[in-house]
Amino acid sequence: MSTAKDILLEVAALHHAYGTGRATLNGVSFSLARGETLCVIGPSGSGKSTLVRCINALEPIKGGRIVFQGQHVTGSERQAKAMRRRIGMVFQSFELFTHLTAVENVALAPINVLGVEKTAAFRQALSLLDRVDLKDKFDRFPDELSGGQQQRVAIARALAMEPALMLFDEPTSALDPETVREVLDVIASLKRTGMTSIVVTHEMEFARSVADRIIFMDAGEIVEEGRPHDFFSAPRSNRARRFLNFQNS
Amino acid sequence: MQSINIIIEYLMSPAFRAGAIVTLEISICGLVGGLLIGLFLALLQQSAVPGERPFRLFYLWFFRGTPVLFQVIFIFNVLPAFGIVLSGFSCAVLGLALNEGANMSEILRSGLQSTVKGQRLAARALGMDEFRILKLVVFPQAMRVVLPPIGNEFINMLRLSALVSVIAVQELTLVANQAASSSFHYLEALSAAGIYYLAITTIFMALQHVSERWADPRSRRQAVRNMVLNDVEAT
Ligand SMILES: Nc1ncnc2c1ncn2[C@@H]1O[C@H](COP(=O)(O)OP(=O)(O)OP(=O)(O)O)[C@@H](O)[C@H]1O
Ligand SMILES: [Mg+2]
Repeated sequence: MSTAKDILLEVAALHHAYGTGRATLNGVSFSLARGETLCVIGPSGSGKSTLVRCINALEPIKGGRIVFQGQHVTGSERQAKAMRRRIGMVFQSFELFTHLTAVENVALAPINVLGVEKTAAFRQALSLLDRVDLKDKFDRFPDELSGGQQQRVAIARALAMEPALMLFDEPTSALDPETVREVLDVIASLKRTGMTSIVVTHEMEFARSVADRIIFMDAGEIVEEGRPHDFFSAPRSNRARRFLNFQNS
Repeated sequence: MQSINIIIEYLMSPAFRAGAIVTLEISICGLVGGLLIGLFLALLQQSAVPGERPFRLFYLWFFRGTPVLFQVIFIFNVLPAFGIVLSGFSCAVLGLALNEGANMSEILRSGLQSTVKGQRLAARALGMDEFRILKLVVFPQAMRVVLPPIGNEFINMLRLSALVSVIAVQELTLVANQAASSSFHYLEALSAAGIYYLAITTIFMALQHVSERWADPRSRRQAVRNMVLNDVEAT
């Protein structure tokens, strides 16, 4: 496994609540090594999306710390913005910019956030679209693409910022069963290029075959953490067992 | 036949031309003023500054609950009592703009809301600040939603502008009415004014059509293709 020096992300005793409501994250701790793929699974409402948003500083936290590349994520808004540029995020419902073509969606942030020159940004965007097998669709608008294609453009858009970490929040939950595969294949291919990823997913087969590690969450806590083989063949907790049985039935 | 000649004479006369220009100026200034006020109100609502809600609701209640004609007369006759003396033209524009601001805030609000929350979150996740999100994501999408209703507001404004004849602003309707009552050529003078109104409306509708095409993202597809084929692939 990993040594302490190539730890990319460290989450320690993370607490979160929406407004004054009850805790959504209740002391979550884990760390992530460079190049690792971590799958987060758990029942609806267990706090998976909230965790991912906290890591990207899109949610203010109530306690604990998140250290990414040796820097605290939870600083000023300026610091948070700098952090977000190095963390890519992919959403369940794609969230492509509907007024822009595929290539413009990918090039928008490099041009306007990183200050990349337009031609260079477009060239990079095209090569990223090629990487997700959509180069010929560069001039399509989001509503002219299938769900799977839109999600692959969204992955290319996140990669365009050259992130050190990719966060996927149920990237295939809004897709037709036929197109789930093409998106999961892209995520698996990222792993082969050395990308570090956190993938919230309900695709157990994907988690089993691609993840280096599984985190099982329930009610704002990490109930179980382990290697996919161990987790799926012999879950230690009752809650994980119930969840897996339910998923299989 | 003689009527047609008289109509043409009126159409060409400096007084009518000046009247039409004043009408156009009032309408455009009123629209732009209304847009600015509406934008301010719509952004105020988004900002959720404490106390913005009662202020906004009072504004909408007041300017929607009273006739525009009343508002214009009020501004023209009451402000001087407080030492604020404005020209008739300024009063007309101010009255129409204040009134239009109420309508515009509703139109712009619906436009700003048309960008779903998710796209803003995605933009934040890409490291964009609020200003860039508004400029690059929210406004371009809002534009498509608000252009057609803003066009309708302009045409409304053009028609409302005739009301300001009551404060003796020399706009088209007043000019035509004065010409008619001094010459008794009612048919001809009013027809000439009608032709001016319809001409302005028609030109404006054409502009509206062009601007809606321009705001349609699909009109950019060819430019994106050219950019990719000429600049990116070539180098
Ligand atoms: N914006 C919000 N405001 C208030 N409560 C929220 C908000 N978003 C989520 N919650 C609540 O926080 C808890 C955790 O939600 P979260 O979305 O993180 O769960 P999740 O594990 O991603 O669930 P799912 O699998 O359904 O996506 C839930 O009880 C949810 O109702
Ligand atoms: Mg979720």
